[in-house]
Formats: sequence, C-alpha cells, structure tokens
Amino acid sequence: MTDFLADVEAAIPSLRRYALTLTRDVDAADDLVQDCLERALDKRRLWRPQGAVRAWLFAILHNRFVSDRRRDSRRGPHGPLDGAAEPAAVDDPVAAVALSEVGRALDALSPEQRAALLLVAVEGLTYAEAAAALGVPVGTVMSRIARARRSLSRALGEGPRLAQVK
Amino acid sequence: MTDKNGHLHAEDGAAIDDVDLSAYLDGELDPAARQRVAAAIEGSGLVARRAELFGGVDRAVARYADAMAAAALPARLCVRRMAAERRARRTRRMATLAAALALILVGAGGGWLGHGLFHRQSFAVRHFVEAATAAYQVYSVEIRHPVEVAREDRGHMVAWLSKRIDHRLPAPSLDAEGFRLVGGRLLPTRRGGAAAQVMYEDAEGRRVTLYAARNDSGARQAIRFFKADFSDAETAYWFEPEIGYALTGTVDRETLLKLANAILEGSDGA
Repeated sequence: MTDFLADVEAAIPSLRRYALTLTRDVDAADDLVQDCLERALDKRRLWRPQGAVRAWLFAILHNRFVSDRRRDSRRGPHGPLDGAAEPAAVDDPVAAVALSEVGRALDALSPEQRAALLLVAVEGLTYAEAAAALGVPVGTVMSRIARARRSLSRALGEGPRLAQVK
Repeated sequence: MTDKNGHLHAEDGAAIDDVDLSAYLDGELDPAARQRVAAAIEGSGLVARRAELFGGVDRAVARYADAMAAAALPARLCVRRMAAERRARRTRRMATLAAALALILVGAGGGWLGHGLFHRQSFAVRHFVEAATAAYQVYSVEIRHPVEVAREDRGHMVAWLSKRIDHRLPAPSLDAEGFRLVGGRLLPTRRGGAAAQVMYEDAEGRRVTLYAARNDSGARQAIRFFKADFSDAETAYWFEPEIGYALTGTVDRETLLKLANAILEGSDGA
C-alpha cells in the first residue's frame, strides 16, 4: 500500500498540470485534483496493480471534470475568461507571448479535443489508456487528437510563432 | 498537395490523412501503416512539413502546460497528509465508539448520563447545539429549498463544505439505516465562522440534519444528547479535536444514536 501512495504522489504534478491546462482556472484545477485524490484514497482497495496508477487517476479526475461541468452548465455560464489562469512568467518575453497564444488556441478547442490531446501528447498516455480515462472508444480518441492538432496548426500557423516555442 | 478532404498526397499518390499522421507521431499505428506513413514522410516534402508542424504543435502545448504548472503544489494536494489524516480519524473514531458504547451501558443501568452532564457544559457547547437545533428547525421544514446543494452533486457538496469548514465533512450514506441524503448547505456560526449542515430523510419524510463546525476548544467528547427548550427535536452531539458534530431530528434517541454511529463509522468515506 505504501507503493500505492508513492505512485499516487508521483502522479500529482501531472494531474495538476492536466487539470490546469484543461480548466485554465487554478482554484477549479486544485479542487479537481484534491477531489480526485480523495476519491483515489476512497477507492484504493478497488485498484488492481496490473494497470498504471497514473492512467487510473486520470480516469477518476476526468469523471469529476465531466460531472462538475454538467453541474456548472445547469447553473448557467461562467463569467468571461478574464480570470483565466496564465502560465507563470517565463524569462524569455518572446516565448511568453507565444505561450499566451497557445493558451488562446487551446481555448478554441472543444474540451473533449483538448482533453484527448493533453492526455496523449503531454501526459504520455497510450490511446487505449486515454480512451479508458475519457470513457470513449480508441477511434474517437484518435480522431479527436488529429482534429485538435489540425486546428492548433491552423491557429498557430506554420511560421515564426511555433518556431519561438520550440 | 492537399485535396478537398484534407488529405496529403505522397509522391506515389497514397493519401495520408491527419489521423494517420497523428497516430504515427503517437506511435499508435500497426507496423504496416507505420511503414506507409514513414515512407510518405520520406518521399513527400508536404507530408514531412505537416509532420514537423504537428510536432511543433505538441512541443508548444507541452511548453504551455509545463508553464501553467510551474508554481509549487499547494499543501492541500499532499496525498500523504490526506492518508495520515484518515488513519488518525479512524483511531479517533474507535475511541469515540468505545466511549459511546460506555455511555449506552451507563444509560442501560441508570438513565442517560449525557443529559445530566449538560449543565456542566460550557456556554460554547450550549451555543453549538442550540445553533444546530435552530438550523434544523428552520431548514428541515423547507419543501422547495431544504438544501443549497442536492444529493446529485454529493461530491461537489462534500468538497465545497469541507473546504469552507476547513475539515473533511463526513456525509456517508445512511441508506442502510433507512435515511437518504437530501443535500447540504453552508451556515454562519456566531463568531463569523462557517458551519455545514447535511440533511437526510427517511421514507416517511422525517428529516435529520448533521451540523458540523470547527471545535476551537480542541477537546474530544463522546456522544451526548441535548434537547433545546425551543424545539421538539433531539440532538446527539460529539466532538473530535478539530470538529464538532450535532445530529438533530424529531426522532427517538435510539434512532439518533444509530445514525450517529453510522456517521462515525462512515466518515472515512470508504
């Protein structure tokens, strides 16, 4: 069981990174991760060591995200994105400009596309793991990721902007 | 060339779409398809450029995500502390249960000890149980708005109220005892603190409320009973070092005690 805690602990920075990038709201992201950790402790007896703890945690976190979103949509729209979390200051001002553009481009994706892309391209889940976490077929993950990359390519262009953040 | 379906054509005319290319970059293609895409990248500047573009997109998104998460983890996301708190709660609960059992034994012998002891309780304790009773009185009769957050959002309710009272709020299922969760709400305490009220009801619509607020005295106390002079409701209350609980309802003491024990057992959330 100590291994379980160590595995969970090791995954927390990734969970938080995913939640932050998905929601762009620090409080909402931390709530989501805290909730996910509590659920994981509740359900630790249900976890079977053959799968990756990380993928299992992403599945729990995503379930919370979906149910929160369902609740929020019942309560009506949020305020404007003015309060959206911005990445921490980067030393290189050119890179910082480019990053805020990446943020806007990510905002323009549907949450489903964003989630699929982040899980695979940033967090390194396999398509099968991402499909399990998102509760959709592998083919759906595959096309969501392709669509996400296509619209990000379009938004960020092929030119200097991408070059800046290489 | 890009045709009207967004397909890129390699020199040999084989169409490579964004899905193929994307899955190739993620290492998710079977060997034959992988070879086909690799050959297309090799043979066509257009496909190679698109692959490079997708790679750039991934790098940009990864940089962005890393920058978002650059700040240190907040203390509330420490899973070891969460686990340690759960263990401590379990230990405390065993102590509380043992004390409750002792009370029942005393009760069986010579009347309820708790009732007689009440006048020796401090003003703060009296205020706590009266506030719980008052809140029960006001909200348990509500038809349309008994709670702020309904049971459908149990997870959110527990997270929210726990955050506000700065302690994990137990809102276990009391289904086995015949009481169903209605939901919960946030209430002010006399000193401007936050208290949580969680409501349950049975099949006949009888309601009980669990009121929880921080216990500033730090003292522990096993289950005792109280009845306010302004209400018909009975309250079972107990204190853990960090938090006090009051379970109130117009039900008999056995029922209250049974529910209180179920809450003590279930407050681990397991």
